[in-house]
Amino acid sequence: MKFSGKEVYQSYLKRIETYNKDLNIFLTVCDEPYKGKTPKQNLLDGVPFGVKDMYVTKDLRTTAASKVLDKYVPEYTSTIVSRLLENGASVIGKTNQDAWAHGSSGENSDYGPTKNPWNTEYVPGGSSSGSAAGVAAQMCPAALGTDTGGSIRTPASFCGVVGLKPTYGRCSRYGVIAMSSSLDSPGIFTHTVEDCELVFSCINGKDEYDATTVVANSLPVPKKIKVGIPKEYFGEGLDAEVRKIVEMAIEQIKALPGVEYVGEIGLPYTEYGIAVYYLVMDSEVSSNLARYDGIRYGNNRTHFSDEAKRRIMLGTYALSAGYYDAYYKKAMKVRTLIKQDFKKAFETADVLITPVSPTPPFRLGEKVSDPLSMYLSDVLTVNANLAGIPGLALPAGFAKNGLPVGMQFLGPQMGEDILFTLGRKYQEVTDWHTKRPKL
Amino acid sequence: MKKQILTTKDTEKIASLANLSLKNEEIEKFTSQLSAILEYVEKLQQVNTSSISETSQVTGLINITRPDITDSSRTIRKGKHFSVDAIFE
Repeated sequence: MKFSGKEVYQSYLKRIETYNKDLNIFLTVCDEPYKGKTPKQNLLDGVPFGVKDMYVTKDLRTTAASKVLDKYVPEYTSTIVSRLLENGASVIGKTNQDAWAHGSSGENSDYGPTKNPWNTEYVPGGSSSGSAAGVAAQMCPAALGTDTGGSIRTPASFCGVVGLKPTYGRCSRYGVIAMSSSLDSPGIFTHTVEDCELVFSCINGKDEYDATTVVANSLPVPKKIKVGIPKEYFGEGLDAEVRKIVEMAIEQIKALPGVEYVGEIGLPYTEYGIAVYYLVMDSEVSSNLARYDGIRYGNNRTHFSDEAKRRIMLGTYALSAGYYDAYYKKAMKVRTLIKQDFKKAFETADVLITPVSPTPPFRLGEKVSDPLSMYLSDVLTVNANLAGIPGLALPAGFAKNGLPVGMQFLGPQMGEDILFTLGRKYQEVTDWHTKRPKL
Repeated sequence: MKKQILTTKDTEKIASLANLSLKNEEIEKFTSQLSAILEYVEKLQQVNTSSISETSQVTGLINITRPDITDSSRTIRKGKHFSVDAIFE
């Protein structure tokens, strides 16, 4: 059967119209496809994308899910979105998220949380909550997100979809509302690794408007992919169900052709990741959010919600005179040690396999009153951002409560092709990625 | 009760540096939340970094520049002039 691009778009739009009120996935919906004027290629012809509201889109409202930007309409389009449009894709809407990407559950949106499509009493994960849920709920076949401390991988894991955090510098941050500039990684949500690879090929690469983008090719894929397990990611705090699911996936992966298991690997500075992250990231956030003064555009700083204020203040304090050395500078030094951990690990292994979240998806409201407990849920994702390495999250099973549980492949910088190859092999022998929630 | 790392006066000073206006109820709440987070990050002091230099970026790129030429496709013009928002109404 053949369908026209228009019919495809209409069918997704109908699903959005039916289910968005309950799931709160899209903040802005495009009744007409938001398209490029002259697509140069057709690799993504007719594919509608959900785009996290951190990406500016010319003439299309962009809010970062914050009341500060409630009515902001950008005058330019982010490079990544432009590249999608150049390849024939369209934008079907701007997705909900934690405001300013500050969050791991989706509950920090100024427009109400997105609900997990698998069970609306549970969080979809964050901060790219709407994008992950949008793909899971089949409101769009692919979506864009950003991952600064796990914000693609966590919601991908919680929503049962594929999520890629690319190597820092491979996807342009031009036009992506800045959260923490040395950590922000624009990335992708899809149902399959194959789709993810296609989208990545269209959007990655040097951008003259982002001086931190790298010119380099992906590392070649070795004949035998060496797979290792970092023991610090399987410690005491790991939920028993998550451990069981990920360990089962690892057994299946060990048995795949072209894979060699190299055993346990140590990443001794893992436990310091959260402390480093919440100092480095908050400091960069305090600087990046200083521009929102409500003078040239947007609403003034009284419109920031609590989490934004917390992070701005923590960062301001960590950078202030008398405290800079003990906090920010110290964190930057420990960041070096974390980066070195991975460099050493990738001398022995090509891919490290780990859980994404220490627990299965939790209920809405469960962690909101304790910011620190919410931060600790990032323990398995932040170190990849600190080191600038890529991470591919894939569905690996379901917890007893029916919610998805994912795992992640971590690779060396520029190692995306290795992650894609291993991911495709895994999806040839499993079917978790074909499951869809009943809405 | 254990002494918090920050006092309400500290929080007020930080808020002022960050150009955030906080209500009184908020100052108490943030003082205790920020103190808890700062207490957690104390664990970094356990790490010996005496011979370690800072990481401020992970790409290894140095001095990426482009020629200082105007990209006319990105200027907003009205004839020969640049168009900007009015400062006075």
